[in-house]
Amino acid sequence: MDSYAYLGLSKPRRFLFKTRNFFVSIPKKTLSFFKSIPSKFVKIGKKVSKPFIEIKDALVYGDLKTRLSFIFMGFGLFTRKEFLKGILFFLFEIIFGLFMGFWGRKYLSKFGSLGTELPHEVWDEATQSYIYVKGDNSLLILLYGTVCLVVILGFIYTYYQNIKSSYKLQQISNVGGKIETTKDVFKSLADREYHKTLLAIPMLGLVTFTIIPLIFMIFIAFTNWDKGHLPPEHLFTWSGLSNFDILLGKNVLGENAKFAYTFKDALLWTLVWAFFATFSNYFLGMILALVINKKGIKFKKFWRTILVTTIAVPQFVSLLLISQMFSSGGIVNHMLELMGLPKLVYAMNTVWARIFVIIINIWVGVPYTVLSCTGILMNIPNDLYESARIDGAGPFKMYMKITLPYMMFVMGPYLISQFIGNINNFNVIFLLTGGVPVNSDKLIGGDTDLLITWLYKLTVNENNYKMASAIGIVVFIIVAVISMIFYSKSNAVKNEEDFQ
Amino acid sequence: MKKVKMLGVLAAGVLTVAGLASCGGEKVDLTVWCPVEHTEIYKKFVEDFKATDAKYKDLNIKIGACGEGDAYGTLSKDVEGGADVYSFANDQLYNLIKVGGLAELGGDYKTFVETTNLEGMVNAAKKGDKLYAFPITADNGYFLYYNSDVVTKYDETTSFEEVAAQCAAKGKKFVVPVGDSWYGYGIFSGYGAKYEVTYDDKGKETEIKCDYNGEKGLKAGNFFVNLANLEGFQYADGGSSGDKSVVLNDYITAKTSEIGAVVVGTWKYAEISTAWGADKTNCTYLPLMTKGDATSRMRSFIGGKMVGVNKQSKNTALALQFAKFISDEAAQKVRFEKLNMGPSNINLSNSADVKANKAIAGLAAQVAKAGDPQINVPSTFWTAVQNFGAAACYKKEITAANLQTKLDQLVTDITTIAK
Amino acid sequence: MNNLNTRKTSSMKARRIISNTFIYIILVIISIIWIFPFVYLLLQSFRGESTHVVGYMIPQKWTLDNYKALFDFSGQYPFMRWYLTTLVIALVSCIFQTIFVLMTSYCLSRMRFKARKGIMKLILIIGMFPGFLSMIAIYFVIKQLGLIGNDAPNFGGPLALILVYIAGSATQYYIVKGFFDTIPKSLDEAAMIDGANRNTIFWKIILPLSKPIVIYTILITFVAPWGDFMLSSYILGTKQSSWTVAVGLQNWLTGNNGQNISKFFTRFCSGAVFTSIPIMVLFFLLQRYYVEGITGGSVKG
Repeated sequence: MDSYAYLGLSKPRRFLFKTRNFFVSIPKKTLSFFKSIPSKFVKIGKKVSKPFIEIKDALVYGDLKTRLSFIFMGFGLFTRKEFLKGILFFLFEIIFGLFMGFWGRKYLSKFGSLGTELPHEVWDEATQSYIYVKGDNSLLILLYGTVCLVVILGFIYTYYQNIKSSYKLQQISNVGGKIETTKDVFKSLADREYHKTLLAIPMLGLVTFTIIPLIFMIFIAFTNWDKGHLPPEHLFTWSGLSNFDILLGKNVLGENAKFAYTFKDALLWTLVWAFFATFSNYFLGMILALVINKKGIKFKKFWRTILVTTIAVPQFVSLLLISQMFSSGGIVNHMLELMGLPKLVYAMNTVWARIFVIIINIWVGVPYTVLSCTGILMNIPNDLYESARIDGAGPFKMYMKITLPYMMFVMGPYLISQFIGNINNFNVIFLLTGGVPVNSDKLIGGDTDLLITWLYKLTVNENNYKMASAIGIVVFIIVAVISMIFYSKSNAVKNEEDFQ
Repeated sequence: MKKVKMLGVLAAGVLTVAGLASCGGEKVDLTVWCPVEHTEIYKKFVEDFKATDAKYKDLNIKIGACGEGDAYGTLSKDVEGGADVYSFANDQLYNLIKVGGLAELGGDYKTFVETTNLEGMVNAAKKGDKLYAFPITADNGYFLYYNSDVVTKYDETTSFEEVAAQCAAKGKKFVVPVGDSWYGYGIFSGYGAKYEVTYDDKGKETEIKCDYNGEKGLKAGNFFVNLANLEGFQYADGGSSGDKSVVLNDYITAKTSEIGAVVVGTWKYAEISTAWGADKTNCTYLPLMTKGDATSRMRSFIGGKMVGVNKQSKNTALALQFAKFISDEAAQKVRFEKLNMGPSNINLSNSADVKANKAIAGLAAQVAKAGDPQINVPSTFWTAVQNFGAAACYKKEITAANLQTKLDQLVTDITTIAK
Repeated sequence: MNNLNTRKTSSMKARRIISNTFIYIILVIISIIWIFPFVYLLLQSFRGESTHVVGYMIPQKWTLDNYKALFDFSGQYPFMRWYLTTLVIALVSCIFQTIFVLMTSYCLSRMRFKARKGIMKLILIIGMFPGFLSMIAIYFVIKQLGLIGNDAPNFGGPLALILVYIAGSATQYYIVKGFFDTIPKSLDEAAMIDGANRNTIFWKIILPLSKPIVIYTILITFVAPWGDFMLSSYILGTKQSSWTVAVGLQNWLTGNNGQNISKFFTRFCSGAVFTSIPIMVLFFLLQRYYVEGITGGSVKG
């Protein structure tokens, strides 16, 4: 179809056309994504080298004030009357120095080995006790070392900004340009640079409580932190890629043999679960929303309200309760028994357990889907249905040809994020079945254990932090690949500006 | 929108003040963890302890809530930030030592523990020659409760089969928690199947041997398989099967009146005797597993609760004083009277009051016939045996035909040490 | 012709009635299924004959004792204290989180700056990591701040939770940004011609237009702490007097090595009802905004 034919279509038809194209082009886009990788590297290379060139320029062409900024941050700015920025740069330098000198140094210096001193005891006759002499704590060294690394990165960036702005200011004042007063700085922070004001605190929070823990977690995958190396009594240290070898089944010594099997099975089930959990929720939720919103159905608000009830009860309460209700002596099996039916116990039967968690997940998730779909369904252009009705289409055909493609298109990103959410859906599995039925071929994992609940058990029951972290990274890679293929290519993200 | 801004500023202010206030925490001399239900008793302990010496009277001793079964899980999260003194069940001893959560006891304290407590409990508090905790009870073991209305004939020759049959005849259940490896041990050990662990000087396991797939193990395995199909038998576990209706403690609480006999410990005495009537509640040794074979009595682990001092404590000397104070004869007496906990103190356990206690007497009867101190258990044991028990008696996946394979698998699981 | 039409409409009418009846039946069944666990919870909370889990639904003896037991401020299980603690945490963190989520979202929706795409991608990537291993790190970072540990004051733990919740604000920009994207940019441009700066535009022009999403965010952030038991139990630990409702309820069900449930199941039920009902009322009252917010946000995604 050429662009004329496309423009000749009615607006709703264009939508359908684009939707079809989106799904048809997935394989091509996947391919082109991988093809584009080399050119991306070149781009990154150029980006990385830019600051170095700027610093070199500042060193070669800068005057004394600019050059002194290399030692005293903010010197160039301060002496050229940009007092506020100058002082802030200098203060930052001092605080950084103090921070590293008094606190960071002791952790960072041991970061390479993660500690060497083991604790020991000395007998003290007076108190009749062993006095404990602390050794190195690998955990704290790793964590606080990570904090230091992030702070250092922040410092390097600020340092670069300091030199850049000093040099720039030198150039401006050479040609007699306007120097930014303190008042100007504040003014621009409320307007042109408003994003700095808006993002300062949220980003600080993000770095402290999300990014630092994340980097720390990634580091753990490359250490040997497990039940044989628990701080503070024992040390752990870097171990390279050996944990990933265990996951891939290359190292089959001892209990590692079970690892690869459990991992493979849990991975497969995680993907199956994520697929069914996402789509069952989506379709049933959509149908329910359609039904509630159908013309002529009364008490729309009432039906929705009942569904909302389940959102209001904390999830852990309802899930633990349902888990009780479906246990062998619980109310559901009791009723089945009274009706003369065989019991359905999730802890006994793998297939039923897996169906069970998917069904309950429908119960948990459908209310959200109904609420999300309701508004979107109302947005579907009515003339689409009108013209279909004139063509003699029945309700089912209209659903398949209009509603479904439209919803899939608009909610594509939502679906993908749901899929990712389900891969990491800890609560439903953990609280409902806790991973059972038990499977003795697996390493502490049960048959409904997702990778995420399995790695939880690895940490809590087995103190196997190193493997848990390695699994976490693998989960991330899977999710990242899935979302890179679908997500970044989906129209809703690409044509961001179109909507505004 | 001014309002929103004002609110923002106000809130920021509140947060800053709160942040500053947090810097000025109080000085705490000792932190003590005990089960929530024991809080009142511990408060009294603290008051009494302060009264023992003038220099103690201004101490700030804080009490936190942590069940004896949860001590390791809670402490291992942050050993340095954990309690100075805490109580725990003996099965966690090795793990607690491994994370550096227990200070070794020496000198006077070692003498105190060794001279005042039952030998079995002293051994249970040791790893090798080193002593790590103050025993406070000696009641962690299991024996048989039976309702004399249901089980009318019980003596040294009675077997599991006969107990189950008597229960079935009255429409009652015989609850055996085979899905819990703590109890499962008693079946293997009852037939003489063994394991053996060697440790290096750091206390790390270097080799585990286990003959659970040998001739004796096979007998035990057969017992599991037969038990599963016995009329009157009721499976129970500690949560390993994931079925919330067969968790031993809840099952007993919820269905006491449907039970004719049960294998469990002293802590269920109050509930059981209330439901059955004290005069009909009998506590005694466990039955024979093979009819007519007097050497096949199910054995019991013997252990107890202990009080440990955190190795990471900033105030070890004081912590030791306090731990000794809450584990001596007087303190154990309080526990026995108020909490019904069977003492490990020699004098106390020989006292008439304790001997008159039915549950404790029941455990003593079992110990006299078939009790094993709970020491040197392989760390791999618990999960492996609990899975075996659940597979045999809950999911009933194990039959005479595949028993040997499953036992071989069990032994592999037990003897495999993580590298 | 006329005749044919009326016949057609009347038969359609009949069909519609049949299909609607069918739909009503389905809706009733679905409602029963969805409401069933809550009804079970409600009934069990009034059960007086025993405290453990039972296999039947209707209590044999009705009682209010389970509710009376909740009004405990200082005993072994001070539910009211937990409740108030959670309320404070929810209120404070909801105010800050809402402000920061709105700020971040507005920024990412309206401002154009170098790091913008980078930040959005970063937050997307962060969301893909399974989160709870970070709890270990979060715990020790907070401990370094002096908010938890043996020497820390009692309010330290709740304050730490508030901090962590607030710190996560940026990661929740997604739906709110989607909503802001649907507000025409021409509004901003017109205001800018009138001399307003970004700050004024955000607070005085965009926010008043965003009532549904503001309420949506308040609702979401207010409700979250009531259900969070993983992070809160990790951080609050053994300091029972500063537990939140979720930690306490969880303890009644699984605490003491799984032995608590037989003593506290019915109290757990009453506690859960007590916690849920205010939230339910909030949802009922604000349902319209919730739907508007979530639609506005997720259409764009």
